[in-house]
Amino acid sequence: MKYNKTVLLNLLICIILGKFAPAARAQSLSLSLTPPLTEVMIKPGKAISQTFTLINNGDDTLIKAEFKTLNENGNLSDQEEKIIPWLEIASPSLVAEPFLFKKGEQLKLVVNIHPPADTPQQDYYQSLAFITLPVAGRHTQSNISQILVSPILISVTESGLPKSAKIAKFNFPSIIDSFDSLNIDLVLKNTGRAFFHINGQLLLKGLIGRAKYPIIPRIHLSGQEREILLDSPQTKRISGFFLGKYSLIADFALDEGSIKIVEEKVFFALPWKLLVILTVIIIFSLAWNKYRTNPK
Amino acid sequence: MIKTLKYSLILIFGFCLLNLRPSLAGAQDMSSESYQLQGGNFNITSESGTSSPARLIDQIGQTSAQIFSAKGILLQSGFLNKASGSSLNFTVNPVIVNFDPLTAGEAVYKDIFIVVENGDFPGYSVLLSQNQPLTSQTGEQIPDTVCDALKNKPCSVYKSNLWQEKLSYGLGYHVKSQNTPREFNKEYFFRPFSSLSKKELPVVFMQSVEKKIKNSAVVTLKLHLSPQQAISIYQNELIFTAIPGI
Repeated sequence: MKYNKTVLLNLLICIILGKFAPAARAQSLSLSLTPPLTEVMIKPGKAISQTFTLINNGDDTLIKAEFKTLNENGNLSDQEEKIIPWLEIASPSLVAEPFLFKKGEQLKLVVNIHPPADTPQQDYYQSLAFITLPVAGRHTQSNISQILVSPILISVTESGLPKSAKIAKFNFPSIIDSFDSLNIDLVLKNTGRAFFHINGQLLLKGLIGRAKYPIIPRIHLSGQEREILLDSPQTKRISGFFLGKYSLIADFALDEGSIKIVEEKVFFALPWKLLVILTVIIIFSLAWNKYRTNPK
Repeated sequence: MIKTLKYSLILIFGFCLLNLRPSLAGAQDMSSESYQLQGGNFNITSESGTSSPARLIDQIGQTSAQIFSAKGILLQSGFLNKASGSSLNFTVNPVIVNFDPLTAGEAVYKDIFIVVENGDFPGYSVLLSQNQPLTSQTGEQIPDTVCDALKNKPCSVYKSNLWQEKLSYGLGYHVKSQNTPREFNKEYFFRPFSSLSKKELPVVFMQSVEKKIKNSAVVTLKLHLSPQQAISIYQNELIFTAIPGI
């Protein structure tokens, strides 16, 4: 009886301690950045500012902010000489040096964009990067560093830079089975001097009906060759039942619609897999009937 | 025989009639016989509000071209300002991967957890690289894995491969996530980190084109030490970079 009481008491203590003890966890880096992207169209000699908000949802960390350039594919580039001098952190002034960014803290950072009057008229692809500094230790270890990037896409122009694009790839099978999905390989190249958003849809025209498949309005940087993706879970595939001849029309507009890109291709759909199965069934039925009527 | 053919034909026709129209997708265009509205800048205000240090342009009643020619400036945060009320959240856990205690010939596995969350602005990419291979203070290095190259299954920074051989040493990683290219996800498949010290480009290991999503991944590090490796403290830096899907 006494033994049972001891066991129960121990169990109760364990439950209470387990309930109220703080959960043990590893340190984490967790940053939230707003806005994730800034697009600026600006005349030489004008100035504008943008405010970025960074929140530390993880543990205390050392962090710094710096500008980095983006290449034509929108990835970070090491070319420091391409960082433009008229992009500046206005406040707070010391964020370029590592500072302690505490858990739950919020940082408002103002960036000034002021291209001088003689700035060449073209696109400048820059970014503001927040970089955490790794923690050193005395073990064999990998130290983690986190970089959170907010691209800043700038068009310096007096009256708008020329925009143009061409479809670099528009491939899908010419003949498909009626029950199969149509896999589309569609790539657009930005041949102009400025970035743009691509808007529009793929239009599917059949003998009876037609259907529209809107695309994701992604950004195409100058010189970039990029896939066009459908705004659906299957970004490169159209599903359904197809029969006969179909036209698939790529119908896009650059930005607000003044420049159009249109291309049309044809494919045919037949239920050939079903026909093969039915043929096999019919042949077997015939053979079976023949065998039943004349077993020898 | 005729009966079978009859039933087969009825089956085909029935199926075709039921499925002849491809499924309609919801387009954002509004149209009738006399008009068609396409998505563009349907603005609501025409003034720009300025306060120090923030500046807000709310586009009411003017197109972006009109605003630009009038003011010489146009600021947008993403597609039709979709990014202005949006954020990119990026979490990496833990901040240190401790491989100790290490025993030569025995592989050590450690996990790093990644979470990416975005808002209205679609897409993101997460890239991974290391500053250098695991290096001691005297400059000794633990090599990057080449996977089971001894069995003609080599891996590289851009291609994973099987790594199970007991005589294959080094450091490599494997990723498990729904938003990771398939070649990362295969079981027992690893690859070395791209090294900034070797001028290699960071590798995209997690990506999406969707908006309002929260994706996670587990990056598993494998360290397999050779018996010939000098005893020392080896360290490097793993760099995780998150970029919105522009």
